[in-house]
Amino acid sequence: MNSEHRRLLAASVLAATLLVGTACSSAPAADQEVTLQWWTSGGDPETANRVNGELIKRFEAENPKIKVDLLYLPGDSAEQKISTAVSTGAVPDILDTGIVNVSNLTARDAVEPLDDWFENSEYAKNIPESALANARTADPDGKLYFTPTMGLANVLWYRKDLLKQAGVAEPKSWDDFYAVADEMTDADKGVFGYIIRGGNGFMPQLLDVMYGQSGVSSFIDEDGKSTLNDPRNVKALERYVEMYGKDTAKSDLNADYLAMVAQFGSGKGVMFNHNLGSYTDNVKKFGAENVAGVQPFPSEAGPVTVSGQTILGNAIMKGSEHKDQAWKFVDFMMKPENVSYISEELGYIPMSKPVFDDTWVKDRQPLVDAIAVIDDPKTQVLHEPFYLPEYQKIAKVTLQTPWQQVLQGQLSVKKFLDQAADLFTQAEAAYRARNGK
Amino acid sequence: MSQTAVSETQTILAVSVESKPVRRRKRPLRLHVFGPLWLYLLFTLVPFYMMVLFAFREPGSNSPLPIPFSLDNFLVVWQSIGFSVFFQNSVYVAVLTLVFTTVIALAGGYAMARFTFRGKTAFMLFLLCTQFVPGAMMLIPLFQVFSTFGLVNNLFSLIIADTAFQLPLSIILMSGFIRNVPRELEEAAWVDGCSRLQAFRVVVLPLLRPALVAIGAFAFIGAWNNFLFALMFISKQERFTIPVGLSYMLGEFSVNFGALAAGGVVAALPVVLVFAFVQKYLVQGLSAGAVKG
Amino acid sequence: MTAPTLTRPRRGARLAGTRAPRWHSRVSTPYLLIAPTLVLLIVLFVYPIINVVALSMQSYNLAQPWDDGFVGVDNFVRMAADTAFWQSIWVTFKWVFVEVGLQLVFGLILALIVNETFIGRGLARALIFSPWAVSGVLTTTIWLLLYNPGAGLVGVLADMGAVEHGVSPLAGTESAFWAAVVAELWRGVPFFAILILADLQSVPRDLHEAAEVDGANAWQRFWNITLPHLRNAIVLATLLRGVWEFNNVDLLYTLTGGGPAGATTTLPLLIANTAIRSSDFGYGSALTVVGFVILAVITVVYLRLTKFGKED
Repeated sequence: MNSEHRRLLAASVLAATLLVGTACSSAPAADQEVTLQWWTSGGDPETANRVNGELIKRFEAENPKIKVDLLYLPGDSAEQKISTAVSTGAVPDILDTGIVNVSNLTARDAVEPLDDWFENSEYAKNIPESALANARTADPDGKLYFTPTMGLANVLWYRKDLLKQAGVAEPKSWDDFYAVADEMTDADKGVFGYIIRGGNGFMPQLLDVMYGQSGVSSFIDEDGKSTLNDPRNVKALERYVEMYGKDTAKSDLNADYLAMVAQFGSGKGVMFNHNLGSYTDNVKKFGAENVAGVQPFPSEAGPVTVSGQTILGNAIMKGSEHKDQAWKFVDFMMKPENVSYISEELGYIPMSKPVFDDTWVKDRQPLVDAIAVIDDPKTQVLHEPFYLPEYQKIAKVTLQTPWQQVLQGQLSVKKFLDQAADLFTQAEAAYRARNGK
Repeated sequence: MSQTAVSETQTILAVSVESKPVRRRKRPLRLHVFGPLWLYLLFTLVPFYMMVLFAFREPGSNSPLPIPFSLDNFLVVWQSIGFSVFFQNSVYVAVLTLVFTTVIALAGGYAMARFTFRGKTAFMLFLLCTQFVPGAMMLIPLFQVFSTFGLVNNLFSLIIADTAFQLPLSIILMSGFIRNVPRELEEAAWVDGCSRLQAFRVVVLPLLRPALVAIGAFAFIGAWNNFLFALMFISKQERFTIPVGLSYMLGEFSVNFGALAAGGVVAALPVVLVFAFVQKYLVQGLSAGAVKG
Repeated sequence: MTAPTLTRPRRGARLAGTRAPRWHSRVSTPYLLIAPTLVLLIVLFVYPIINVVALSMQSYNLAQPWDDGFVGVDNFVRMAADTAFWQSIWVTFKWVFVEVGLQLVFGLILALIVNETFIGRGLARALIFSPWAVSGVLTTTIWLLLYNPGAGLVGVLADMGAVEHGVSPLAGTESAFWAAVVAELWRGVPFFAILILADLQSVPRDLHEAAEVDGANAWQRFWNITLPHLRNAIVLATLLRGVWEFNNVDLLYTLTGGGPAGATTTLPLLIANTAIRSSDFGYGSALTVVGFVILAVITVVYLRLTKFGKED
């Protein structure tokens, strides 16, 4: 081989090795202290980084031998990242999850049951029973896989200032709701009384309004049948869908959270359904006195029926190598003052009984309403079957196109609800068969 | 001896290639050119205006002009959300991807352009085949490959992955550009005693400037804007890149168009400025190459 | 002065008897040159591709792990009966042809325009190339806002009375497709513009001048001189861009999500939805294999048809 070729060969080998070789990092120096990985998402990045950072600082001050590394994930892709992590084994120690997504993790045996630690925690008694019961539904055996310290509730947001300007009274019943939507619509100016979520993530809003009107008390009845196509629900949804194109913009067909926020923020939409998660955003934009977030109005059957009672909290991943230290952090996050801090900053319902008396809670109208409704024994709480692994797929993917067809009048509400009910009934039956229920 | 060969070759190059003075008269634009250009520029600029509008407008304002002017969004994005760090990471990844891609593509492109060898068609088909699988389906096995090499959480995994995805396009394009350079030029250099590498460096490379700019730009931007790998292969927040930072601003519970637009300006502005600077190299004429001696 | 030696001696003839390199002197040179590429691509691609093929014959759903296992060709049988699949094939072809075609035409025209000398040319070029620099998620968000009747351009147009209030191009089955086409066009034209501009530099100027002297007009010069020179580059760029548009769904994923009613769901978007939103990697892999085969067949046919590969 002549010199030229020798050089070429060397260059080739160098190029290939350079890429791979220099990349391999040397192993980190062995630490005496333990470093935990904590993955979380939710809230806006500015506040979340600050708040989570503060909480970590407090924890590290109390526990000098434990460091916590925060990884804040973008909301839309968090699930994909977590799923990939579980597939590849590169999981964190602590994961911020919730009732909506935890069944994905339990199905893959990726999270550690917390019952033993939980029983011995001094903060365990602070968590409301309903929240604990809710969290345990994720597992067919009722084990606890995450500590439910934060809650969200579905809410109807509306612009108080716009209503006042137009001289329209705030809605206090479902009939009011439809009347207000109609009155506030001024199609020539591009202002619409309501924003229907036709696009990505439409299900919670649909359930909120439908069950809220009909008053049907459970998602799945004792026989395992889904109540989605109960005639009362069909009637309620038909009334709701009538608003499309009339009191709502036709563009709502695709409306996802982004589009709804853009429309609400520009003042071209007066009311929309979402959850308490958008509290901080709305307040920042309009001021707390101009925005109201109310719970569902009394249903046809009488009682207020709420859905979307999602709870969130921290879980410990099975792949963690520092589970005891991880529990220390999870436990720390259950401390009332920490629950209070994070909930206040990020707009959650604090699931810690001592915190209900905090002043900031009492000052927030949407929160006060939400808590009052939960506390009221007459309230019916709709428990969505998040424990079904197919739930997200059905709610987000399978039913998306039919829902859009319903809005466009190409599919009848009844057929749509029949299809949806079938899907959930089948999923429930499979679940019961798998778990011997 | 090689130094003389090099300068002799440069002389030959200068003479054998177009030696008439280059016309650079700046004519006013004719209407049939003006019209479509303006229309298209308008089309290009409207989205940019949206971005600028949202970025520089005061948060909470609804006016169609960025008045009152505010840099709040930028402060938030740079400090509180962490773009100062994301920016550095993005530059690191993108620049190295550009370097590796261009160098390896030069080698591969030269091979494809100047040689016939067994397996050449197979190689080209292989290059094309690597583009047939969507990235999302390769995530987990790719992650496992990087894990085997100990590259998890390492920005180098992004560099390698981005380079690998850019190479097929780069090599194929590069071979086309190299083919446009007449072989005779290289042969002339060899006759003068240059080695193949010297001839390449002195004769071909200067003529490849437009190619290098184009291919380098594609590689840089491919790496700069890559979101999926950056999110999936990295699990340390201080190693995230700009696209991940941008996606922070769009969540189910919080949408901040102002911050997103500001982040977008931070992301796009440096690249656009560099474009503005290098675009003249895209049209360096054949009369590139100094005349020495 | 004429172009570089038009008489071509037998290749290498001048080199005979010298110690200079030859074109075919050493067998190993080209292999060494492509070695880094080969090593890199083999390491990174072979395992994942094998993985996808293997998964395509399994039932593998992350959210329902109790069903996992080898199922042979079941996924493909399911695919044949899946209307969403066939619709996605149709949408994919529509999407790729329209996008690549439009991008090519616009890119070509723009490259020709900014190849001319005129005042402000540099600025025009920089502006035309800029959309390429904008990241996917940002492009999508900007266009989402533009199309939003409340906050965007559509709203402004409605205020001016040009369109109906509250209607968005994204909300109709046909219009959503074209709305996405426009957004992707904005982003994709610079690819061709940059490439063709770079390639235009290799067109010998004297051929143009000779033709001009002979009385050929601009169009004839373009068609007979410029275009043949660009042919190879255009053929390849179009193929590569076509493959890219086929497989890259980031814009569609966020802008329309594939809706409404699957009107903008291309095959790769179906794959993304299946694998990511439904966690069904088995079926998603099967879809990927089908996509791969389609692309491979089209590539081979395309290269044959355009008679690419002739050494010049």
